[in-house]
Formats: sequence, C-alpha cells, structure tokens
Amino acid sequence: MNWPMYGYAFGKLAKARGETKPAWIKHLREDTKIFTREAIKWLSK
Amino acid sequence: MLFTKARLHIKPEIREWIDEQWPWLVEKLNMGDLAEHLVIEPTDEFFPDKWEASREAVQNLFGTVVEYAEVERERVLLGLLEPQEEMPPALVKQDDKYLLPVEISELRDPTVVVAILSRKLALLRLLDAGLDLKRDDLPLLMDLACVVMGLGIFNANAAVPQVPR
Repeated sequence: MNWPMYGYAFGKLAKARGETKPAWIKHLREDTKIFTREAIKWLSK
Repeated sequence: MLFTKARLHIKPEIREWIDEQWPWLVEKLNMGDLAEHLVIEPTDEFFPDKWEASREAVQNLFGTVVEYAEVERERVLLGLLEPQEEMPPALVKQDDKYLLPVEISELRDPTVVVAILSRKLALLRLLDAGLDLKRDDLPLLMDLACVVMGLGIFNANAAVPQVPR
C-alpha cells in the first residue's frame, strides 16, 4: 500500500480501538502520520 | 483557518476496497475486538533484545515477531539466504512447517526485518484462513492484514509515497 492508503487503514484501526489520538501514531513517518490524522478526523464525521 | 474539512487522499474505489476487506480480515484472522490487541511499536518496550546482525539476534527477533503475529512458534522456521538475483518466495512449505526466507542483506535494519517477517506471517495467517492465492490484490491484502494484526507501523514506514506495490 502507499502512504495515503496506510493513513486510511490506520484511521480505521484507531476507530476500531476507540482512539482519537492514538499514542502509536508518533512512530509513523511524518507523511503517513498526516494522512492518518486526516483519516481519523474524516472517520469521526 | 481554525476549521478545515477533513478529507481523504485516496480514491473512492480504494477506500471502498479497504472498507470491504477490513471486516473480512478481522473475521478471517480471528481478531475479534481490535482494542484487545496490541499495536506493536518500534521501541525497546516491544523489542527488548539488543539488536546486532548475528544469527542469535535474528532468531530472537524472529521469535518476538512470531509471538506478536500470534502464530505458533513451532510451525515456522527462519531461513537466512545469501542475496539472490530473484526475490525469494514469501513462504516455503516444509513438511508440517513453513520456512520464512530472509536475505542476509536485509539484516542491516531491524525495523525492515520486522516489516518483512510481519508480511510473511500475515500471509501464513491468511493461508490458514483459506485465502485464494490467485487474488490480484494479494500484495495489498498482506499489507492491510499487517495493520489489522497490529504490525502495520513497520511496513508503513517502509512504504512508497504513491504507487501501490
């Protein structure tokens, strides 16, 4: 998968775990982290 | 701007593919409630053994990743190979076990080793679940399975910007 796909997948993981600011996100490379934050926000709509 | 609309950076058909595969993977991998599983991080807490490019250190790391992937340790063997012209197979069936081949040139970075092993172990768990190996989306499915299994950080950090692998 590419970075945006990983971002969405991690967004789904966070949602499934009931996390809005998951601690593990800090270990992602910066670009994937941005896509993940966007996905978490989008999925919480 | 204080308020911005959240937007996704993937095409709708890609989002639909992930949305379709996600519950299928959760069920097939028998994950249940994902909140009850760890998300594995590249830290000393999760990988306390000292890393060096030695057989002992690689075997220790292998054992740790196998445990996190929730695969029975006695079912899998690590196979260290000299660099090959062609990429080695993901898994090699040997009697009642699976050999996971890894080229020794990959041992420079332990996070890459974890990414490689995670993907192979995800494939093994998908095989156990009856996955059709002829699926066109198999490489993407293996990546997504790593995320579902809590091992996705390592593969994500080794991923490319735009072109799906």
